[in-house]
Amino acid sequence: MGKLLYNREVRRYLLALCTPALLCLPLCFWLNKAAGFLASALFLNALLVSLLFTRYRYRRLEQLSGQLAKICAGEYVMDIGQYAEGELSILSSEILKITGALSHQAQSLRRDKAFLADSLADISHQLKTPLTSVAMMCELLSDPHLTGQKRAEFLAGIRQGADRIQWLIASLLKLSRLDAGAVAFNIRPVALAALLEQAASPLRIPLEVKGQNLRLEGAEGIVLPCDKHWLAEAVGNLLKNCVEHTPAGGHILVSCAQNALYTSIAVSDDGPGFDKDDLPHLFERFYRGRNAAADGVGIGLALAKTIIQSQGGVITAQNRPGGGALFALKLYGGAVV
Amino acid sequence: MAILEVTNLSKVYGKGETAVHALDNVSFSVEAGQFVAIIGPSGSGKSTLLHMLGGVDRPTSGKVSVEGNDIYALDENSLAIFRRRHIGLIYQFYNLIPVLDVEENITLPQLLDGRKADRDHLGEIIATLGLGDRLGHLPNQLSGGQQQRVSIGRALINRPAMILADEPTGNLDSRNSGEILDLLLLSNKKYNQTLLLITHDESIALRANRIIAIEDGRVARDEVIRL
Repeated sequence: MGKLLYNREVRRYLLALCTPALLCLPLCFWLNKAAGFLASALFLNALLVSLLFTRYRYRRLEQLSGQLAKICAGEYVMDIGQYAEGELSILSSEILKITGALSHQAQSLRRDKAFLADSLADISHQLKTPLTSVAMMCELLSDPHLTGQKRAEFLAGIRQGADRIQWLIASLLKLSRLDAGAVAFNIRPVALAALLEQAASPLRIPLEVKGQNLRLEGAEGIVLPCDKHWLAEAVGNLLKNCVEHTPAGGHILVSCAQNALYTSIAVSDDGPGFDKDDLPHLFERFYRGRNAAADGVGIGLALAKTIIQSQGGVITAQNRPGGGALFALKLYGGAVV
Repeated sequence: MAILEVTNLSKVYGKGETAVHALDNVSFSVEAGQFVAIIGPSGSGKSTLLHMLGGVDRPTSGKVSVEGNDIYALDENSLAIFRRRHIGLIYQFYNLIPVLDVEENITLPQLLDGRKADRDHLGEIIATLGLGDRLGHLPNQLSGGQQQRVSIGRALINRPAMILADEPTGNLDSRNSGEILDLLLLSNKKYNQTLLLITHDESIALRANRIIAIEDGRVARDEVIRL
């Protein structure tokens, strides 16, 4: 009971309750002794009941505070509490939710750390290969008896290796910046047709070399909120994947549509399509499928997916019923970022 | 720690010779944020399993733990309240209250708690589901796809530990089905919402993180198909 009095509001409450009583009760007695006793009894009853009730409520609050204190200390205690109607029970439910969220967060942080460690290992492994070949070429170049032709060959090899390392580092940097949420997207209304042009432009030459045909459908008049630069890169990576896996003379189609919920972009080709075993792993980093391009590293699709997801979009890959691969991209407008 | 742990769950309907073993010693656990698809032929026990998980019906034996709490240690009333606050349920036939409008249907779990809706959270859910211009309409003024979106909103409003969906696209055409599934996936990623979805549609099941196949009341297969 003494502890209750620590609470300022309880003291005020007692004051507000007892003062009129102390003034009026003697008056009652003076008017009529029996009435006086009755009034006193009633008053004492009211006082006792309200104090007991208040003590019960403060005990419950104390319990909940104790639970919160444990959570602060990192001990995620999930007590079932009482499931009843009323404010105290609702408070208890909300605390349970917070506890759950915190403990899951702690778990996922641990997982992220492990993932990061693995990523670093992957990255250094990926860089080792071209670096080793560059080092080897340098060794070979130091031979004084090399022919001019051989020398030119090795120099080209070094140049290639250096390009590759640069490209790898640039891609990995992009991925890690996206992962860390360190990229500030510049979301603006963008004309889809212009975006697709931008995505396809680095592929004009490979398309011509392989005699492949790229068709864009349905993009006229569609405007969507997105970051043009990053999204063009993502779509470009999808197109690149199609160009690489479709034989010479093949066809690549990009068809678009827009509705109240989202804008959809479907990139498809008429090549051999995806290997069934590859499908669940397509967008994983450094995953190289059965028919991977010889110097593919498995970053293009992973990067595309990360970019798309960071802008509130969804991407899936599947085989078309008539043969060939299909990347289905859905970008939800600003409401869902 | 797993958000859901099922241990030796069994459900038997009837007695003696006419006893039907709807579920037979089912055990598995689900981590927070996972999207699990539960597949299986008709009558295999999928819906029974979901009802056990949601606290809608009591098992004959076994334990279901949500966020570390054994839900069947609670009495009926407490279980109903627990379900209202911590579990979101989505059904194939929407099950909206016909006399309440869209906003009231979505905030029903909070109204039953005697609370006023948190306007920011409600606004976010409504924007995500694309229901902004339908808030005052009654369920019979909405299309199937829109009604199902309202049910999703209702399931999300209380930030439940997990969402249980029983064939949510079963009553919709393929385009609406795709949109509903995308919305569920979005909330799975955005709110790190654990989602258990019953379906007999393989294409839907393949979009999950994990597939559990139920046959004759038992877990026939349990594989993670993507991380």
